[in-house]
Amino acid sequence: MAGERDSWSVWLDQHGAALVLFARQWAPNRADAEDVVQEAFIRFWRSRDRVAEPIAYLYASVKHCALDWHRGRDRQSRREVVVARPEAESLFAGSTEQEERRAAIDAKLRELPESQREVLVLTIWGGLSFPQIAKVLQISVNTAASRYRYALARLREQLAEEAIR
Amino acid sequence: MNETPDPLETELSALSPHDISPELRRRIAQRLAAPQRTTQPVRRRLLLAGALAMAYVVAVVFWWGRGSVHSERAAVESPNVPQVTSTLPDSRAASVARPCWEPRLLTYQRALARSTEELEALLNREAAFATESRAQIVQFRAFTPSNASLDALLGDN
Repeated sequence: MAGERDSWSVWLDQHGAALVLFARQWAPNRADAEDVVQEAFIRFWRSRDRVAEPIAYLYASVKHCALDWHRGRDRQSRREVVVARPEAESLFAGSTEQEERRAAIDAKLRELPESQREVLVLTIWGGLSFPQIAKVLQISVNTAASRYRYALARLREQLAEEAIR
Repeated sequence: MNETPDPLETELSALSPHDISPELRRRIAQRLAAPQRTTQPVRRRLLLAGALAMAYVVAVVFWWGRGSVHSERAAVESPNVPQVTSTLPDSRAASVARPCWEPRLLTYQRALARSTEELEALLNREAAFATESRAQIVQFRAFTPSNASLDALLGDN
């Protein structure tokens, strides 16, 4: 039992933060994203032995749960969504010296199209390879790679514009 | 192959997302420690069994309802159908005596299936019965004026 505990703890330590960041694309705040990750992680852990690519399956579970959650959320009143103010919570932790730059990246990242942003998050913070991302998102490897390139290019461009201002 | 790291990629990689909260870790530990919930499938099965039982009961009730309607209809359609008590001689009456409702198509089909002679015999019996019943109707007419009474009524004496 202790071995199993260590085992899931290792998975959670290794991927937990990236999973929450990934879930934040659909959940407006950290608490909701953690709820999503909790549900997805439990599902993943109970069926991990039946899948060929556990990491891809874990992230795919998070997306699936997040979309389910988001659909349920859509049914709630618009007022509640407005009150949640997703932009109020930063996506990243860090020192206050880089606060301005971090806030700019945070804001520009949110402005990316969802299809590009999710590839970027999975690559940079999830540490997934393009073949793994292709499995998570059910797209081709080439599509994953090109979305990553577009995301980086767009982010770079927008951050440059921000710097000029 | 370009091995030079993209500065933006490096900058992004340096940003670390928030660590998960101890609360999330505690909740996951709690859920994983608990035996896997089987209440959902069990509840679903119970609901399915209940629905099937209910459907069975409804079907039985419907079937009984139809049965009673049929028997009521049968009672209405042929209630106390009087048996024809013929005034014919016994030998002939025996051949004619039968319930006065019309034979069904099935009766003819069965007779034909047995033999053509039997069908013929049945048709003959029907014909004889029809003749007798017509005779009885005439016999029991309520208003049977004779020529004499008609003459009297018309004042043709």
